[in-house]
Amino acid sequence: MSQSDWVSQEGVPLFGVRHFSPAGARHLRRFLDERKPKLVLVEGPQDANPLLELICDEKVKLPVALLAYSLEPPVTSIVFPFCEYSPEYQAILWAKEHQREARFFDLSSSYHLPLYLQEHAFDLTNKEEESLKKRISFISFQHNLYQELAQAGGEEDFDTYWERQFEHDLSDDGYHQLVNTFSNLLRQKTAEQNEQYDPFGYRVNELREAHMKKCIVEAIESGIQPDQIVVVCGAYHVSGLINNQPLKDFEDLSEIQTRMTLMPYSNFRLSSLSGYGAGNNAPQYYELMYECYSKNQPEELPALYLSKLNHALREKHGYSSTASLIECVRLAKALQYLHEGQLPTLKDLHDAALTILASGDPATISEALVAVDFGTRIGALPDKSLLTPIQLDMNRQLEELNLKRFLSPVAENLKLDLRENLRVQNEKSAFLDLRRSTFFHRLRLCGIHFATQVPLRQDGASWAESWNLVWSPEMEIVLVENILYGDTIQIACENRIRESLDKANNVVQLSELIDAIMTCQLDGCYLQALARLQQLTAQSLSFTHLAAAAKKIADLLEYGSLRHFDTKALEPLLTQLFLKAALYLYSGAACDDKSAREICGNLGYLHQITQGQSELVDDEIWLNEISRLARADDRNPLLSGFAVSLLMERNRFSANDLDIQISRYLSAANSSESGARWFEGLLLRNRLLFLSQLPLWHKLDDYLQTLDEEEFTKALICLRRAFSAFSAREKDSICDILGEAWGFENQSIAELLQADLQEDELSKLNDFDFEDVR
Amino acid sequence: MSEKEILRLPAEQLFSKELEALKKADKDEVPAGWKLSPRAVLKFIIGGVEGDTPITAKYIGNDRLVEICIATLLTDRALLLIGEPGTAKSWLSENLAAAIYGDSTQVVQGTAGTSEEQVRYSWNYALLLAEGYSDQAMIKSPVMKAMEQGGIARLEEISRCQSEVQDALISILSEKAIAINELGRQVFARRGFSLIATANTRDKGVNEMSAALKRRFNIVVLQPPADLQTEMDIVSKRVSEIATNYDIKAKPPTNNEIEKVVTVFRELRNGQSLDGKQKIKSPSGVTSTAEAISLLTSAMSLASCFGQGSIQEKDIAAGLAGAIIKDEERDRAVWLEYLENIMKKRGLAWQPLYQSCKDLER
Repeated sequence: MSQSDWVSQEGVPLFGVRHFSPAGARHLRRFLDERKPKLVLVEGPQDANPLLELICDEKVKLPVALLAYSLEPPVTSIVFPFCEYSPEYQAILWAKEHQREARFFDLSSSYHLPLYLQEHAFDLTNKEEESLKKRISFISFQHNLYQELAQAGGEEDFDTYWERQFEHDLSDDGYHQLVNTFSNLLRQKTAEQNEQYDPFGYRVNELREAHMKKCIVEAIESGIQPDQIVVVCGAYHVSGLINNQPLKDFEDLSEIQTRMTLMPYSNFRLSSLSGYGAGNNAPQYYELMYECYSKNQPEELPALYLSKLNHALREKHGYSSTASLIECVRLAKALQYLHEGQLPTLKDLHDAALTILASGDPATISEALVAVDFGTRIGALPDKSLLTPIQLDMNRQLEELNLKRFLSPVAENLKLDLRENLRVQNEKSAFLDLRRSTFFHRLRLCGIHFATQVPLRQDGASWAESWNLVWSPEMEIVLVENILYGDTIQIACENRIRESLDKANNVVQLSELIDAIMTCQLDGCYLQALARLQQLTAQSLSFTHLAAAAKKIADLLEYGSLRHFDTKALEPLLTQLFLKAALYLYSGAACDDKSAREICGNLGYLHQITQGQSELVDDEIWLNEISRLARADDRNPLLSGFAVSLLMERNRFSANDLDIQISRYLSAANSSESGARWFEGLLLRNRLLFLSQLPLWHKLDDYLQTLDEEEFTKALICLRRAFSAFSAREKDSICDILGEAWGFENQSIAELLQADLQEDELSKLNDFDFEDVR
Repeated sequence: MSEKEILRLPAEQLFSKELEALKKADKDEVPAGWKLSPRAVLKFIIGGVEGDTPITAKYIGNDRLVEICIATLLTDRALLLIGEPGTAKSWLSENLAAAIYGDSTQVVQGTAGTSEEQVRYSWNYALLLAEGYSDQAMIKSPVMKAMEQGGIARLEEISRCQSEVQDALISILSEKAIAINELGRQVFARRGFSLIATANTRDKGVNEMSAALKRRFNIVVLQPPADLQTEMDIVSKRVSEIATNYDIKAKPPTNNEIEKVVTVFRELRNGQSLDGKQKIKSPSGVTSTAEAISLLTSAMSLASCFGQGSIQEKDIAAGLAGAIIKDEERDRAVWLEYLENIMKKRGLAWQPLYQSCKDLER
């Protein structure tokens, strides 16, 4: 097929490219230099045309992306990235340099976004499942086709094949002809299956091509000669633009309101876009390739790339000689010779580096490879290109809080001290870390995970925080999507909190929201939250909820001053929560065994509150209810035992009382399970207290002797759980006590315990089911 | 001795038909000193078809590694093949030399007793005393012979040599020349000269090699077979070849038997069951593919001599314990544990083998 074949019916030349292709960018520039068209039509959303100036602005550092987002909830978005070697970007740049016009001519995002969403929405109801399966089988058909092509071409994978055949082709018109022919043939081969297995995707494609056709026709009608136009689009679309009809109208297309903005992008994210249509697996390598191509020195690429790799290795390992580097280049060229190529591919370069620089051990060079293949580059935009107020707000905050250096895909740790820095004059700087912490918490509330908190070991140091900071383009997208909640991050947080306050329906959720309000310093929502908490407390009937909420509020009272929040208003709420919890305690204690453990935890919290915030809570009522629980017969035995231990800690339970309870619970009349559970609850909190109580152990011993085989087995399970929390020394003392009770000497007990288990005993043990749940 | 009487022919004679077929059909450029073009060498090693001669695969594994080896030898760099024992390093080295140079017999075996003279040259002392220094009195090492003829020298187990001896190679590899001071001249290597060395990663491995020497080699790591099927292919192919060679009159092992043996070996090697759910202790030795091959061949010979002509479980069991237990104390416990915890619980198909193994332990 000769050159004249890649021209539309009207006579407009069509330059098909693969997105993110350095050879594509270079050959396109040459093509444009030869033709010098008045108008360059570029594949991209039409409504991005007002941003063309901003994309090419000198202050812009690539990679960046166009971000189109919807204005109606639920907010959704679609991204169009550009990098140095995107043919589309070079086309736009060329137009600017030569004072010609460039225009995007694909479907505007207001039409494209709903189509994109529909295509990617996976509804797993029955009728959708069939079509989903079909699409998946089409994708794997395509995948296999590419793999076969690669293998037929003597390469291991398609990326290497593409690179060798297309990216390295340095002949004058090679790329243009080759890529168009290749994509055309592929399209012919897969068109039928495409229509059958992925009808929706097929139709979207048709629509887009019809729209692009329409724009071409309009451009001609506006007076520009067809041969004064050049079209730059994905090579796949070229035959569509030749054969299809222009779009008539937009009637049956659904439209939503969208806005466009620019956002920085990362090299790392570009690499994950790699696939057969776009993206590539080593962005920085391809940047180097484009650099060499632009200087017309393609043969420099292997030496340049491997030198950078060697350099990175030297930094990591201390030495890596130039002689090895020379041999590396030679080996890469020998591999290229084996495959009859013009340049070594990335795979050839990697294998050569592995063999010589790394002496066969991949671990040696993997870090250096990542640094050289991907790099950690992130794009940057001047303020005027940030078209949403929330992006500007984020930018401003990052500057003020001195966090710009953390904008990197490599995670870095930052330790914060929330207290006042006394060595600084200015109040703002004195609380810099506190403001940073607030900022991070606000970002997290909005779903932007720029900072992730790392749990610190020390329990007491509540003023210390440790954060891991890492940036990726997804965060920018989530940031922009928050525009529906507000124009600044603070307002977005407040509105989010208000929404959650309305939806919250129990006290635990509310207490967590108040915690969020305090850590994010959202004064505007505070009163509303307090009122709502009071409402819900009055309505709540659940002991576990009330206790958990009480704990949270008590914690806030302890540490709230750190965040400069007025916690006085929380005090009456704590009193109320505690009171209700105490009153619902007894009824809540009639529960099954699974919930009993949780309730033990809650009882512990409430006990802690009576110690820590004693002036705020009604101790008498608490002790009354606990006594009731301790002496009750009809509540969960675990909790009764636990209550006894709490009372013993508060000295409200005498030894006599304890005796009575033991006799009651560990008696033949009671089921062995409940006896053992009571015992478990008793020992849950304070083991040392009971180790010294000899009569307790004697009673336990007597009790166990009365049990028959089956009951003993049931009791054994609970007892094992009870004793599992003991330390080795405590277990030893219990063995001593019991041994004495049984009349053995210390020596023989020790021998018995140290002896290895016999095989039959072991197999019996293996078969016994200890109901280990955790 | 006729060919039939020789126990094991070198690769270039064993596969002479294939080499001839490749040479006839070879249209690509042949580098200086080589007998075949690089692409023909590649085909010889990884297998294929040439006209109507089938080319058997010599190395079954990652083809890219073979490409790297050939590219290395193209650029006159020395090649160092390292890997666990039993990963076909020496086999690959032999076949590469056979294909490229047509002669795989220029070998220096590295042992603790290897001296510099075996790498450079030595003297026939009787002649030396009688006639003085002369070319006739000199005994050339395989390396020197290869240099003079532009061929490939092979160094097996280079890491077992003393490091002083290894270092004798350093200047040979950079300058590609050996100085014979006694005769006052230098021997320069002809085009096509290269060196293939092999080393084990067990024992001392290559860690003790001097950095200067290491730098002069291109190092390729040969891995054990990546998955069960590849290893089974290798084992069944080699077992049938060896059985034919030794004329063992027994039926070759069935797929089932090969799978069992290879499964046991892989699990012990990797330290976990094939589905990854259970951890297994590995024995101290290496359970390599080569050992699996020899196990099955000896099972075949047991069956032919003392059995009914086809492999039974007890034939396999006889070799299994021996292959795995290298260090009596530790490996024995590992093997017993494996039998009880893994093999016993595998189900009906494994019971006979389990029983036979258990019987042998008593």
